[in-house]
Amino acid sequence: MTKLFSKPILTFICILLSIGQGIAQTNDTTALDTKKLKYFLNEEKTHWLAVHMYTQLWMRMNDNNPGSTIAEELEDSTYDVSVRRFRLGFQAQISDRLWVYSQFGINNLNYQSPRGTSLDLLDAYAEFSVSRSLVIGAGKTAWTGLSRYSAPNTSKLLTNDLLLLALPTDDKADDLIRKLSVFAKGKLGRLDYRFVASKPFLPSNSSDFEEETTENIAEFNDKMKSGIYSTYLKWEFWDSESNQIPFSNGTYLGKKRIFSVGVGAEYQNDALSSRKNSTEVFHDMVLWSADAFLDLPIDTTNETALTAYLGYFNYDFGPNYIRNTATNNTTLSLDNSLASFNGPGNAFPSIGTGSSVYLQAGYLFPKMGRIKDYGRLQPYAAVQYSNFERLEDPMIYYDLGINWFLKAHLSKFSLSLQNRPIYNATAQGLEVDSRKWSAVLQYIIRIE
Amino acid sequence: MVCRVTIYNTDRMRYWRTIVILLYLLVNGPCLYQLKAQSKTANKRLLFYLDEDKKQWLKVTSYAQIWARQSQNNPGSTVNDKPALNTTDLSIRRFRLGVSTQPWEKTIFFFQIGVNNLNYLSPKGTSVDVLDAYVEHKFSDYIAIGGGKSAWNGLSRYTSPSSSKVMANDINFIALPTLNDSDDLIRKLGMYAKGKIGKVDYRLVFTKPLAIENSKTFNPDPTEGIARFTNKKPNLQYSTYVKYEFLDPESNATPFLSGSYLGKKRVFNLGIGYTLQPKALWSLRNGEEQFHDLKLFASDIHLDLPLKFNPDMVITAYLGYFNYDFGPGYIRQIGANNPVNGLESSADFYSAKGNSFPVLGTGESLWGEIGYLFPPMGNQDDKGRLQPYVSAQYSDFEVIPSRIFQYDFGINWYLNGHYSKLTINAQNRPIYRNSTNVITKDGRKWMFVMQYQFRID
Repeated sequence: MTKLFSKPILTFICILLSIGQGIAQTNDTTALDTKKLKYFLNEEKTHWLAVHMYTQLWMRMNDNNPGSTIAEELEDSTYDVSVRRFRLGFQAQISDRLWVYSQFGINNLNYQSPRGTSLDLLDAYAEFSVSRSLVIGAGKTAWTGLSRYSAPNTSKLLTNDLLLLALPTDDKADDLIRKLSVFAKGKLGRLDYRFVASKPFLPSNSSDFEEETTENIAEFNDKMKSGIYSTYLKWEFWDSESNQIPFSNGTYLGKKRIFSVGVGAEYQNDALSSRKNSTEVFHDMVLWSADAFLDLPIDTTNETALTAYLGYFNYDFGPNYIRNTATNNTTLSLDNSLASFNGPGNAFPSIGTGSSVYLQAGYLFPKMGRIKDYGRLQPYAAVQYSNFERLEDPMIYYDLGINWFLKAHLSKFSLSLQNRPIYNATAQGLEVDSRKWSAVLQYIIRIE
Repeated sequence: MVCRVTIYNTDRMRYWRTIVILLYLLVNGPCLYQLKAQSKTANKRLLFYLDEDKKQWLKVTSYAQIWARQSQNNPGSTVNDKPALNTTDLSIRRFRLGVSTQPWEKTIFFFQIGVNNLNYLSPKGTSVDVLDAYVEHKFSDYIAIGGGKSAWNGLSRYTSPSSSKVMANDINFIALPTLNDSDDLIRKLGMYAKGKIGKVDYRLVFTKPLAIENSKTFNPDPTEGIARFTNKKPNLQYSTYVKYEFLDPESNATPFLSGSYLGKKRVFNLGIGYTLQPKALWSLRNGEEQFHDLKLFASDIHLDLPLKFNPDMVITAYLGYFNYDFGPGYIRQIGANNPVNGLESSADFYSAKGNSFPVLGTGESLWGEIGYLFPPMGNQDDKGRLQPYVSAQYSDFEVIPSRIFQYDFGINWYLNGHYSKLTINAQNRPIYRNSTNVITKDGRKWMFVMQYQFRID
């Protein structure tokens, strides 16, 4: 931990915080509620086009997994600056019933990225509104079922970053959560539903695809032809949330009173395969989850709020499936003689066959500053507890952090301390060997 | 005997009556009527004036085409080495985002990014490409000169198709002879002159073809008796298209020509064009290298007419004749937005993978389409308009002994003109196989596409 607060990171934190203060003081006149980049297409103001853009900048100090290397030199810890996400999108209500959404973006633009990083087409889809209770759409889209944060609103989260556990096929059958899909969504009274049928992207185009099957360990294969079907049903006890875009907010910052309980599932026939006595056997992907979300304003004048989320995830990918996921990985190569089970950089086993519980909670404090607005603070904590078939010890991951909202979600800092387990193979199986820290300071700017 | 003559006369009278009625409808009947005022106010265009005189402006356009498809694949097609007889998939056929601006009078800058064929086989993180970036200066109506990366092409009407305003489901590949060989999704680096002199609309284009070795179909070695594009003699390519506009003039602001104006224009054109590129291809003759010039000629006729007795009814028809000389034995198979990624290696299969069929080659071709646009549906509510159509290609290529006949039929449902339309299309293509030194027919296959398109501009 002492390493984390070495000189460079402290200096940068100071610089960033002072920039933040500057922004907080100068932008007071900007009204938050009006969407500035909204252009009305007709006089009745029923048809419109809106532009949004956001950037997430990361400064990070990461204790790397054992054996991580950069240019074949061991790298115990990495300090870096990166662009976690950049998005540029537009949405338009082009007729009374027709709504379209397009978005370009890029993730994980860090020091290891190739020069000339291209911008990708993330979303391009259209929706036709039959009624409030039924909207159908198709295209490349993040509409997906399973759980609340399987389609997370990445610029409006409570925690520093999204929940990998809720993205079981990310970059396997998806392209940054997006798939080529048709979907139906709507609200029936207090019930909010979504049904999605997708043509998955080929897993063989994934960076970590392995063609050879392993004895009794399931892996995604490229021979399947079937679609992925998913659904998420949510009962909204208090205020209703918007279902215009697929992404669910992490917190409404005291503006809404939300309590919702949801269930969801995802299924793909023969998605994975393993070897059993040297013949290939196929496994269906059967995932389900149940979750509850609470966003409760406490003090209405000061707009303080308590935010909490609890999710249970039961995943069956086939025998012993496990996936080490690294977010915006700090190193990509490994010295195999020193390596742990986790792999390089900041990877840890976040998804696998087994059951998991995830909890996050945060408390939003009142505005700071008497005359000037110095923004608002929101400390939070999140923990994932997983019992994966492949691992001997339970996987516990936690994240402690604080958000500093200068302009709600449009301009915010978040400082996050993440702790992950390192697994090593022993005679008993894969056991926790040690734990590593990662500290991330993020600044998000969003315009809309 | 007398009786026979009488019958003959009656038949002939009926025949002439039909001809006269048809002639009357074709020549006198079609006429532009004032369009009915639309019940709903149309959306504002994304056109922003940069000054008060409205001489400086900026326009934004975007469109996307989403395909849901069922394809019967060619024999031997595979997905990751596993046989794939049929494919059902969902894909994005095209996505475009463009900006055109007139930053000062008489100068136009056009910029467009986009992606084609984003399907389940695409790599993750499909990048958007810069398709167009060109600038144009207008001297007068007679002449404007431009340069850059653009889709300004000669040869035929649909060599620069407005892909979001076509009538048949997709573009016709016979009109795109160098697609992705020496161009990048129809675009080339070049300069052009265009203009209108009275009823004559012309475009003259010369381009530096993109290097052939960057094309997917590139093969570095020449073959005996079969011409192939080569990178050995990178000459310029020259192309021209001239059309005579008998009725309303069409816009030549962008290179792209519409498939149908949906009754808003009365169009009847005759056009001719060519594309030439010296020593673009090569082959071997008795083991010696031979270079072949690319010599392509086309002439076409286009009709887009609202009927006189009801201008809400529109007939749209096109017929093009294409005479292509790529050198001996040149043939090219194209599969649009191909649903598979492999083909079993067997000497029997001549047809390429997925939905490919021989589209281009040395020889003669005809391509035509005809469609009929019905009046708007619905009394109170606007329920859109229907337009059934058929299109077909008939080709006599040097290397394939039998004639190639490929056809499409389908129906467009315009919910809001070309801004929101749903198309259902059935395409039937021929399959070929190799049998003892000759290419023979081996049945036919279908592909069914439901396309939804939205466009904002």
